[in-house]
Amino acid sequence: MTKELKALWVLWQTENVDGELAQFKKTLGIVKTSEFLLGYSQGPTEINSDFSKLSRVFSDSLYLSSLQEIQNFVSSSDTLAIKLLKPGVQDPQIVSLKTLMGEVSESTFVRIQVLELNTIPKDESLIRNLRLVWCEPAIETLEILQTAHFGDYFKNPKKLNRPADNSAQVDLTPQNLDLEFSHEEINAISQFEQRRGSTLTRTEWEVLAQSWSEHCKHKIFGAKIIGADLPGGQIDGLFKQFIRKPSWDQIEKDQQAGKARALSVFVDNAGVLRLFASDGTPTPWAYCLKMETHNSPSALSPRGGAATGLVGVHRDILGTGRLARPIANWDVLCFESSEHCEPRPPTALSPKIIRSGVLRGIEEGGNQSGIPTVMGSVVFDPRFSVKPYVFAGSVGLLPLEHVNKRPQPGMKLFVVGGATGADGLRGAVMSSRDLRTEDFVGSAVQVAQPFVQRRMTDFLLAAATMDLIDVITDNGAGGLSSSVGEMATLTGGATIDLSNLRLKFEGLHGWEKLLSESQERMTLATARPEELKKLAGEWAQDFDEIGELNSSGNLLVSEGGKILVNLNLRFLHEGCPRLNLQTDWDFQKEKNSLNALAPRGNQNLQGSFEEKFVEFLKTETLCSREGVARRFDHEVGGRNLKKFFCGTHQNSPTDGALIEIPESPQPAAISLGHGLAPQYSNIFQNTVHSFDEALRTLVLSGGDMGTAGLLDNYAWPDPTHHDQRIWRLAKSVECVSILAQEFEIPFVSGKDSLKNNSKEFFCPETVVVSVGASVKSLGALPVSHFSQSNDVVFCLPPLMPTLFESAWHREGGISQNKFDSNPWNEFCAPSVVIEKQLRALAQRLKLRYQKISNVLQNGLVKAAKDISDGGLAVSIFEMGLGEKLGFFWEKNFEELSEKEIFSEGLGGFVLCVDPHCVSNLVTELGPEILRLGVVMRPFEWRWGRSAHFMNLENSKKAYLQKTVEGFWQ
Amino acid sequence: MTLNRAFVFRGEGIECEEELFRALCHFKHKEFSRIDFWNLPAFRKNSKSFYEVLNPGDWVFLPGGFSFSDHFGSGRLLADLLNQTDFAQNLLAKKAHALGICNGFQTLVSLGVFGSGVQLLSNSPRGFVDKWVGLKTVGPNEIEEKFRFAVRHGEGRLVGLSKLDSLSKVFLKYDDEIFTNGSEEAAAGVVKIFENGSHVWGLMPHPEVAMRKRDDPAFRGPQFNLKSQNEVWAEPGDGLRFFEKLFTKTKGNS
Repeated sequence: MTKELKALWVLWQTENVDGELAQFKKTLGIVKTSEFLLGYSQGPTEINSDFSKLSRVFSDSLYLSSLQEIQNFVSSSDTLAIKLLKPGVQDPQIVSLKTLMGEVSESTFVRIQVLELNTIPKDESLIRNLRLVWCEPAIETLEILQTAHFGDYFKNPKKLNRPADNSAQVDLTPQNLDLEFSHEEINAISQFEQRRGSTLTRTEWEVLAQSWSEHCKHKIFGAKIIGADLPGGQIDGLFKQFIRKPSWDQIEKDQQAGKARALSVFVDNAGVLRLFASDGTPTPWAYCLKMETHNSPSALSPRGGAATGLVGVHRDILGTGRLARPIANWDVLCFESSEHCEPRPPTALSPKIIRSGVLRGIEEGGNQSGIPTVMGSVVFDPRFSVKPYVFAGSVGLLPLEHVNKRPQPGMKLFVVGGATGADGLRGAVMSSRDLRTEDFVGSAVQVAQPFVQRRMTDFLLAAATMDLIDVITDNGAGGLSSSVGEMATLTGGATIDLSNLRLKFEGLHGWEKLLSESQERMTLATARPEELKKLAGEWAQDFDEIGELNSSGNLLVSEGGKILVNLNLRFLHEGCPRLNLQTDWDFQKEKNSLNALAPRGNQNLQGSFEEKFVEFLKTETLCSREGVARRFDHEVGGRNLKKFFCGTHQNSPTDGALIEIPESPQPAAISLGHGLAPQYSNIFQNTVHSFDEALRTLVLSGGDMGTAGLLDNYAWPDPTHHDQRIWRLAKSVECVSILAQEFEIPFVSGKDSLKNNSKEFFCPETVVVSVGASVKSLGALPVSHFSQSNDVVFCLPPLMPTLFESAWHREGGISQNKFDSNPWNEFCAPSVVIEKQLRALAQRLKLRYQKISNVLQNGLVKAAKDISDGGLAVSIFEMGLGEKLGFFWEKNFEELSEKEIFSEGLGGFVLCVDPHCVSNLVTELGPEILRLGVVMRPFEWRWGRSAHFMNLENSKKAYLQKTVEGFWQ
Repeated sequence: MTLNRAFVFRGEGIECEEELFRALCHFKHKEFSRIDFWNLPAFRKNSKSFYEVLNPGDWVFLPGGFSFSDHFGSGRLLADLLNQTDFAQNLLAKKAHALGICNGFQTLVSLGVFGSGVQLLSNSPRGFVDKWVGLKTVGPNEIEEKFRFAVRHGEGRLVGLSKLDSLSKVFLKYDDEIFTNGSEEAAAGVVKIFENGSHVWGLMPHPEVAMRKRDDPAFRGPQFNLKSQNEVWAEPGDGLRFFEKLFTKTKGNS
């Protein structure tokens, strides 16, 4: 018997139409906005127990009567615009309600938002705009309904129409199943089928498509690349040759020196490093680092895509060792500029919709998980119209003795957390293709449920404390197929049965259950299943017992006696043929291409220095990120020792992150840094700047380079059929590898997303380098703002300084034809020459960072900041904001060239010291440092002997303008 | 002097339990004989066993977070859960004390502890904000004392103060122009003292993460020749002073 609409609660109702809807108030004639909860049940209309429980919470306005009366009650207007989740999408709010109610309820609840309109909207484009602004198109629908039809429309709960399983009818070919395999892959599969003596089943095709997708297999980073201008004429896999090999070498060197720092690299879900205390002694704790991208989902469903990206990386942390606890996030967000315009894909959502959706997703995902966002970047470029880049990183903490998984045949397999649905199906396949909107709708994008995940995390932490978890991994791309598939390799086999899996709704086919990427689920193996089940009872945590690990050599999946998958593990994981790539590009062609580059800047700042500077600070590139950062709870957990903004006024931005580990017996903290520089066209400048910024910010946060570990996250437009792009990717990876070798820091994890293009549009080539390290001398570390007048300020000028494509250049501070050529173009040289140059540069930088680390750890410096976007001028300006302090430039204004104050380079710092410490600092840092001036009380800049001065109130106002005006909302 | 016990609720979307627990550890053997977590999922199934354990003078702490994701209004679903177990009545009957911080305060307000017309509305301007603010204590015969703590909430504008019941009063106000805007009397915290001496405290800002000077973003970094590194690291902050005062006040009035 079907359920019928029996009850309606008014959750809220208002005649104020504000926020995103304000723009539609007049045009659509919105008179009232409401949110209703609809209750469906079987049988007679008297109040059932579910309804009476709900009426407790929403006592105000239960309405319970005939359909006709409900309809009359809903609205007196004729027309309604109604937003509701698509069938099959689980509503997190209903999940919360049901958790509160505690037991399985017989009723179905649906939440809808209703706009009462006083006219019937005729203008289709208006409705389309409303849908774009108000709805998440991938998961929500908008219905325009006559009030008279409300009762009919909502009479029964909407069911998801599941297509029938047609695998018995069709020929099981990749084409019929809409799966993509290369010619070589199809050959490998045929050979496997011949060896096995039977053809692949429907589910097996799906499993292989997921496991062998670019997303899961990283085929491009594993490919052999042939090219005359590559080192040695060919690269034996970017990952193997440039990332893994040097990291393994470094780890071996550490071990020989008796200072092992990396405990697990490239094998687990995150890279694990040893935690050392502030006094340098080892602690019984380890921490792990991981960063993921969620670009395609965020392009289509910005809020859901970003939120699932963030809570998804938390599960990578949970799945590290025998459970690590996520303790902090960092986010790198790259958005389409709305100030610099270039041609954009016609189907792309507007920059404002993407920006506000992504920020909202990150806010909800982080805040509702109780995991602080401690560091981040927001970058603008017109080319991010294709997709925004959403990099979500997370740090986890785990006891040393939980670093290694403990697999044994016979261990029982459990899925804990949320139920399984059709969400996220084929996500890995999709994200390995070009962006095609139609593929995603309703399946690949999901609603994040941080609450469900938080509950699961609470339970898992309790289980780990009791040592009940032997193996654990997340259900990411590929769902159970990949989590069980991976765990099976540890013992050499696994058997699972899908028939007992809790489902979000009925009618899921076997292959869908296996491949579902429903969020908020973890798979674990335990030797003590009964204790685990008892603990789950205490935490009211749902789970499925699905099977066990064995040593059969196969992954065996059945559903109620029917075998869906019986795949040899070796074939599943190693059977995918290696990709071969080649490139004819070389340094000479690259040099010509760079020289022919048209400058990107498309505006010119006008007027006096002050007028130009004020306009400069208003730009997307330079303006304050307060409007973003304050939306993220960055202090939950009580570990954040470096808030986003410091000073009494909390306006001075800080660099890097400092995360306390109070669990450690001695004071201890983790420092983080990260960098990216997609704005630079020169790939060497782009890569070295990314690396350098990461290290610069790490050192500023007290990170000890000798304990550090690196992450590389590549986001690139598809390089496979593009000579130049594959050459640039190879050069970039080689470059970052050489720097890491010279700095003697291993990579511990990384990820790549290499399909960031759509037709003729391409996202910028980007590498995000992140680095984490244990902190030395916690009590000595500087802050990031000036705090006292008469303190003396020095600068360590950047190496390789240039105005070319600097923020000052791009935002029109200098006229387009008035800059020097880019010194980085000299790096377009034969491989051996580049390597030599890079190693020399890395050595100079490393020496500089060691010196800076020393002076910081001695407590010599009160405040320090790096010289980054906008150059020295912006750093000095930002340091004064926290206490509204001014600055006396000892050089005359006329003597300070634009190049000195606005150029961007490597390893530049501003250091502020007590007047008593000046000579100490000079002795420690030597002749490289320059004395700039002194901090002074009035909030203005003065220059040397000339009577030049500039009040800073206008600049401050300009800097905060976007935050005040709600640009970040 | 006999010491009482402290129970910190956790689970169901509570987030700030660990830092509150650590902050309370400063008062172990001074105020509390034991400090324990109490799991909400288990409490939901069997609240009786919790209330049975409670003794006069014990403290129940409701930390910040997003209980039940704060869907349908901040603290509303958790308040319903507590209400079903007669939280306020049990607390009163046991002469125990409670402190709710942020979401914990929202829960107490939603529960109607301080009067049924008292409400916490959306910030003005709307939206979640994480920022340190100045605060001051208020009240008759009260020497004004100042603190600086972080606020981290989206619904923290306390209104309906005229409807506070006769046992409840505002004890903490914002002392910061940004946060006095748009909020009625700029109240940040309320206390209710029952006739039998049982105290219920609630406040929006977070004292538990201000236990050291260096936790404040206004911290000035290492100062020349003033203190050793260890002293700089551990210098006590406003949070410690706040809890000391709170516990003293509660004892004084009971």
